[in-house]
Amino acid sequence: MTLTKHEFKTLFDQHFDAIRNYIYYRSGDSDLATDLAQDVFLRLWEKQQDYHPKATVGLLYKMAGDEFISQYRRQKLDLNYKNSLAFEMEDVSPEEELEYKELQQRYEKALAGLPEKQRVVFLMSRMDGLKYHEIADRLNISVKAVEKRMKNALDDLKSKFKVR
Amino acid sequence: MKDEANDSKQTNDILAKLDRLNDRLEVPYSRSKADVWAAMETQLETKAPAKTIKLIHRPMFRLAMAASVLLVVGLIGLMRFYAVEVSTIPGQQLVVDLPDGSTAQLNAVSVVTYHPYWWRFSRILDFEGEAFFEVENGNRFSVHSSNGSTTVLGTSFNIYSRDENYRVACLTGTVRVNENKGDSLAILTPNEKAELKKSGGFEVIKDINFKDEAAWVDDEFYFYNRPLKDVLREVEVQYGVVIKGKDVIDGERIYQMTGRLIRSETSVEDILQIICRTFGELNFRQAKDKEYVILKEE
Repeated sequence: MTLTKHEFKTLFDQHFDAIRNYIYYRSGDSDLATDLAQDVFLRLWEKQQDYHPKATVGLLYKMAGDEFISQYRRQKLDLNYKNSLAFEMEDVSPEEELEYKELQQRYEKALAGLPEKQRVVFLMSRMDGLKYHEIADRLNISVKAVEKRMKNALDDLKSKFKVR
Repeated sequence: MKDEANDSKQTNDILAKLDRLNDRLEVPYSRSKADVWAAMETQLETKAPAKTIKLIHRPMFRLAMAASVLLVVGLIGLMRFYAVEVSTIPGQQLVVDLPDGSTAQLNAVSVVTYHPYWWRFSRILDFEGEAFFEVENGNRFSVHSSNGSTTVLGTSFNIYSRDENYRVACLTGTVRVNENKGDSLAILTPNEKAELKKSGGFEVIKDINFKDEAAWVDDEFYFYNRPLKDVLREVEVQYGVVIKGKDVIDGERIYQMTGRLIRSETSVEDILQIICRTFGELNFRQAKDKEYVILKEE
């Protein structure tokens, strides 16, 4: 049973955001993330492979990672300097705004300072709200590895946000 | 202890703050998910199910296959049927080197045909006239003539195949001689000779002197009880002349002769004179250049 168009649409609805975020967490380039994610889905469609829910999602992440690496090599992006992470704020009351703005800047800077692997795991967990075993499945690593990366990322962030 | 508790409280505070921040943060994408889907959907429609054309079904591939098959067949055909023909004119002798080092020494007015590129697969040649073969050891070596065939593995032998005559003499090794019509055959060992009888079948003569049998190789004529007709025919062949009036010796008397002559030291006239003197009642005259007439004196 090859992938039907209906199944493809479902797959897209469920995972496009996560895939795109995944590339963004790695690259810090939102346009690149959108282009690559679209590319990855199109390529999956062209493959016309059999559809196995779990394996296909894993394949999407694998393709996204590979695509990113090859783009990265081609363009030699200097991620840490040119494309630091940047987020948009929404639903913030005026009185909170100042405090959050300041925090956001420190946060973005701190994230850019994290090693890529820790940053990706941390953001997938905190931003996308994925559970550890879900992250482990998608990145094809062990849950232990996810836990370790999370712990290291948290330690790093803690030290940067500590109030003296 | 207090420090530690303080520390973990502070950590939790920070994380709680970050999580509240996370909830309000979004990645600033310039294209929404719906935009991406819309852009992709058009490409999905045009995607016909991938059509696989097997390599062997491509027209060019088939053409190339056909061409290579033709080429190979053509090449093999060329190797198989490409033939070299060597012939000698009257009075000429020639040594033919065959591809494997075997040789065929052709007497005058003989022709040999062989397939040089097929030689390694089968050593077969067509032959008419008289020749002395020296064959290198190897596969079966066959000489086909109109009256008979000779098959050897590696030997030296002489074949005489002119008109209805067919004689094979063996110098070394073993030679098998087959008659073309009928199925009689003879196996020859050194210094044996097989002669095809007029009635069919072979007459094997033992203890011949090979040097006499293939005297032509040493530039000699040697006849032992040969019919005069054969002798005259040999004279024609060796000197490139025409001898007419041979019917006169068809009478009741059997003309046979024996003798040995050195070819280069004897002229046509000398030979004809010797022949005529031998039989007494014969004479000859020169009709024109290279043409002689035998006469019978009543």
